[in-house]
Amino acid sequence: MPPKIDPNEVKIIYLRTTGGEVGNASALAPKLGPLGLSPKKVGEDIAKATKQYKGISVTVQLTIQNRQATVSVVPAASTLVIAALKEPPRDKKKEKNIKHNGNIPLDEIIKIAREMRSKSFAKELSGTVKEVLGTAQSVGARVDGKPAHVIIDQINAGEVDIPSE
Amino acid sequence: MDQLTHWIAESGGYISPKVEVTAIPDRGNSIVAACSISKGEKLVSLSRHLLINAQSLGEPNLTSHQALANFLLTSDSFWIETLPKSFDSIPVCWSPAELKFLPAKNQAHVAKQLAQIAVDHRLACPNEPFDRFRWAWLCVNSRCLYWDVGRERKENMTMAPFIDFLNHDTDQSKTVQVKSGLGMALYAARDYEKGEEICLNYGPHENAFLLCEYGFVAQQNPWDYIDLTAKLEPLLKDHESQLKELGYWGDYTINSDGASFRTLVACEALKNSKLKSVVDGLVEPDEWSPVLTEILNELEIVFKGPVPRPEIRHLYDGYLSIIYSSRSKVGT
Repeated sequence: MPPKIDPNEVKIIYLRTTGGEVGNASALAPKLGPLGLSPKKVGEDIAKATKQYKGISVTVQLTIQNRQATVSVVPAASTLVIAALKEPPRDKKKEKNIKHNGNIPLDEIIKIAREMRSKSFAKELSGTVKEVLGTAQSVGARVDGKPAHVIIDQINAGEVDIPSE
Repeated sequence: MDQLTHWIAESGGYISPKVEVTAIPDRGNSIVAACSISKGEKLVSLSRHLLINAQSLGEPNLTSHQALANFLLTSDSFWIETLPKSFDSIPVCWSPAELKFLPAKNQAHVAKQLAQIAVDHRLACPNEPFDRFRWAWLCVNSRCLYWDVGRERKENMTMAPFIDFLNHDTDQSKTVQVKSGLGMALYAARDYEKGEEICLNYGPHENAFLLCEYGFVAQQNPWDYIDLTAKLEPLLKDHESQLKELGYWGDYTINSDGASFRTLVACEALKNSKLKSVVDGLVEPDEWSPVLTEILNELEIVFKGPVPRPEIRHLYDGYLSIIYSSRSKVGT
């Protein structure tokens, strides 16, 4: 006999999947089936929700309440950075060890940082921007034509201005 | 009502002048927008000492529910005057003949509630007449909100003056947000026009549950479902051990989107399919089964039959619309 809006009634599952693809139902079945949810239907919902991240790894949040699941995409720096490279969609099964050596304008990085702001522990936006730049470096992308770490050094030295919000 | 608003304002709480309490037919008292309200506005805030819960009452030997019921029966606070006088529509107050019309699962739910009331009555205030204690118990049960009192999970509840006037709306995206911190506050989650009712979502509950706990049935409830367990289990006797082993025994439901995955697995068991591969997601179960058509036909007759109470009529009407929509989905 729970009181109104008991937060324990909501079950949340996170999973990482390739955007825009209907994943393997057998990966979802053990977790979702016993809750009464059809793995196939949820798989299709996930594919629909991740359409704009076709071929990129995305983190998905499933909110499960009373035998119904809603899908939402969790913004992750690596997903957003790779999406910003605007590479042609790939088939993950055919191409392995993909290198992301494109170029991203700094403005785009700042936009991503704003989206990630709520998840970041940085005190100011410039801190979050540096976090995103770190991710850009690790996926191999260049920023404004320079290696990402050069921009981080420039921010630290005060040569590049990042808006406070 | 003025007295209540006045008291809250004096005790460090806040009630926006843009909201008022009005009685709406069939819905009881509700909070209504007195003029247009824009999204994000603070509507009500209550400081910690305005909330009534196990922590503020300090009864270490009673459960939250017992302590609150006891408080309602012994305190002379005028706030108690604002509570409902009777709970005739809640199944706990129905006659045994009327209870027979509830789904089996909910009859068990009511029996559990009655047993709990009896226990709480004995432990909290055995000197009060049973009817009066039941009233207090139901006041707590239907009006409390979630609040962490530092005890175990089911103890986490509080009563909140004024905020407890909020009625239920099934759409979670349209309802107000309650924020708990040092106190409790209410924010508008969307724009409201003058005269519009301001609602809270009590949780993703089906109609039978809402009826048992709060005494009403929601129209167009997306969370509603029909429980087929009592109908399916006798048919599945031969497969019981196998289904239990896989964790698919019981809880067979159907909602307006169709049968749940658990129900479909049970239907596959009746066809003697290889259950393991269905459960592992390697094989798709059939989206429908003749057994379900048969069960729904039986149920349709029951739900169309005469009923002793309007609440049961509303409940059954919801079930009929689930039957029709799932039928139209499978095209039978």
